[in-house]
Amino acid sequence: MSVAPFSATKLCVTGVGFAHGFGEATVLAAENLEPLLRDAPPVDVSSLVELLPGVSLRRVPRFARLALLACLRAGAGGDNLPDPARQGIVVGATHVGMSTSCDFMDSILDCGPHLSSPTAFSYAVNNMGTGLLSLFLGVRGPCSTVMSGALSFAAALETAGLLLYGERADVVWVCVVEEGDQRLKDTAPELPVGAEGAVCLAVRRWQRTGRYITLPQWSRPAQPDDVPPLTLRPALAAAVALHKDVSSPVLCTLRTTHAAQHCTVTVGIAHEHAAA
Amino acid sequence: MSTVSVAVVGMGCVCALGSGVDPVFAALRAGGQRPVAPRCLGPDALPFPVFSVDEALFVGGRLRSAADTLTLARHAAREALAQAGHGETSERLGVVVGTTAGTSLHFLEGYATRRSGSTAPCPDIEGLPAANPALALAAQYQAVGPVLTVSNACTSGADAIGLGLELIRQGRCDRVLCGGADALSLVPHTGFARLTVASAERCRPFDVARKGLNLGEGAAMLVLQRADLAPQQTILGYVTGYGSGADAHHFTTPHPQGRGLTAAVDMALRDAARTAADMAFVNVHGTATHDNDLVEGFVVSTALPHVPIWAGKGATGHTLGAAGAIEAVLTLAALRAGVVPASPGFVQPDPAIGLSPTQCEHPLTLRQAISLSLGFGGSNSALILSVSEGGRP
Repeated sequence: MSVAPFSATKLCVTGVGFAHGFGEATVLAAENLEPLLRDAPPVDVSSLVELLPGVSLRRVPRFARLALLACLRAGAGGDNLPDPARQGIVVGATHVGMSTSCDFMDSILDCGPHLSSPTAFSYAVNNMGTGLLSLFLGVRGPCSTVMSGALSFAAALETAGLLLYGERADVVWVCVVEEGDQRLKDTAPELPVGAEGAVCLAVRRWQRTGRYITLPQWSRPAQPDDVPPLTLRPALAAAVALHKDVSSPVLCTLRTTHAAQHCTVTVGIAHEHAAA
Repeated sequence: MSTVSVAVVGMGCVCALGSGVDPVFAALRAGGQRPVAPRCLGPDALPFPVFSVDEALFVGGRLRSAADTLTLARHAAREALAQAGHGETSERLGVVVGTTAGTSLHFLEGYATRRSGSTAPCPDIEGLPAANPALALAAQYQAVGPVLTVSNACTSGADAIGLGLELIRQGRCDRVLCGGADALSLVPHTGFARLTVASAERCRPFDVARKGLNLGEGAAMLVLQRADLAPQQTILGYVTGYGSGADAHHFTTPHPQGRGLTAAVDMALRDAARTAADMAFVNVHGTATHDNDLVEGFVVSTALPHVPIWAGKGATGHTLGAAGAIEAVLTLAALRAGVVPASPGFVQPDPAIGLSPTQCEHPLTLRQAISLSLGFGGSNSALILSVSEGGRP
């Protein structure tokens, strides 16, 4: 007997932001996302200084800078937003704080536990990105980090949907981040890590018209997926699709499979110009 | 406020007090034991005591990797699902697990090996993806549904249950396995010591002489289901309210007036359509750090006035990602038993807080309680558990 289907509840997308080594124009024009997911140069985060004038970013780790850049480009911290207590944040990632985790482990190994760096530890915690986003954007609603491997984007959308349709927030900044750190690539090549980057979608409860993304429809896959489980893949594909100016109702359907989970997540995206 | 009543139909728990909800709660009522030297973390561990589980739970010994967290999660999940019974084959089963060590890059041994230039196999690195607790449990139980590994520092377990509550209320799942798990790990043990928030003696929540926290380990799971679809005899209690909010104040220290925690408490009470006066007791986060207890005491005195306080970390330690879930299970166990336990480690009140947790066991007359959690990054959560449907007093 098959599992009862999951509803394709819509989330309204009101903002999209990228932080990518090839830059937004290249990403939006890309026909093939694979090179963007593997071979992109490090992201230039220097524009954060202009986007957050007067704010010290001295100790902000790279993971958080990537997330912050994507969120600001999606409209976070801007005008015409709900009260900060009605905004939420959900960060999806396979790994958080690669550079700070390596910093802390290096300090333990180089200096001994007694002299290891407490600052590095505190910025290596898994919700570091969410906490710093909340701090810099002034967001005081529910904030969560979900780390479900290749399913992290789907998990982040699911979580955002729960917050919005549970009336716990009126807008949720859904941010998926992949951080690059050469130390981790050198010491842990068996962990699937792609090129660094971040994508942010501003999502709200569906209001009958506009761009939308559906909640995941979870199902059992017919066969294992051979595609390497890169966290950023579905988020980048979704964000690129949302920028297309076409009249067809379905922009793309994304499938993400995590082999250990034996489950397929399908995300449907479409423009809808007429009332539903 | 949702009108969907969400029942707890299964519970599981493992921590320093024992294995199994009933043995754990009995040990808690008996006062628990003191923390022990961190021998399980190896010879390099700083000398701050911990609340560790029975080593026999790790068949073949600890792996000193994220896999240890998964081992504890499996124990708790097995108990909870055995109690809940088998669901339907067409069931949409969600899995939501809070953790910190289960997904962290804390593979110190492997990192040290590889840093030296060796290419030798490192099980703690290779095994990290497969150790993700929500993904692993979903695969083990062939769950088809949302798989969320929640990593919100010390509110992870509570947030996992809160999200599980919403999955049922919103009809996204028929049942949800939700909770938290964290095994002791050398990296955070070192980190908390270096942040000077760890105590070299048994922690003393809300006590005037408190010197910081003791880390602990464990796991707790709940199985949630819509109450009107659950056989009455399987219902252990209800999750009736959940609230969460961020301080947006400072990354490691809470807002001095507990802005985010107050918002979480208010949201949870509204969610449950209850008031502070309806609460039999409040289970505080009570880490025994100077800042946490001061701020939490302020919030409890203003948002939950006159509600008896139970602080449990003097018996379990601070189990990080598992804490909110273990404390939710113990809160519900206390409501079912009709007693609020004593608060181990608390001896003398702090005048700056002005509140005293329970020093001996008390009988309960009210039927719901609220459990609080605070975490790094300004994360705050509140859960309301009840033994009456709809949280009626």
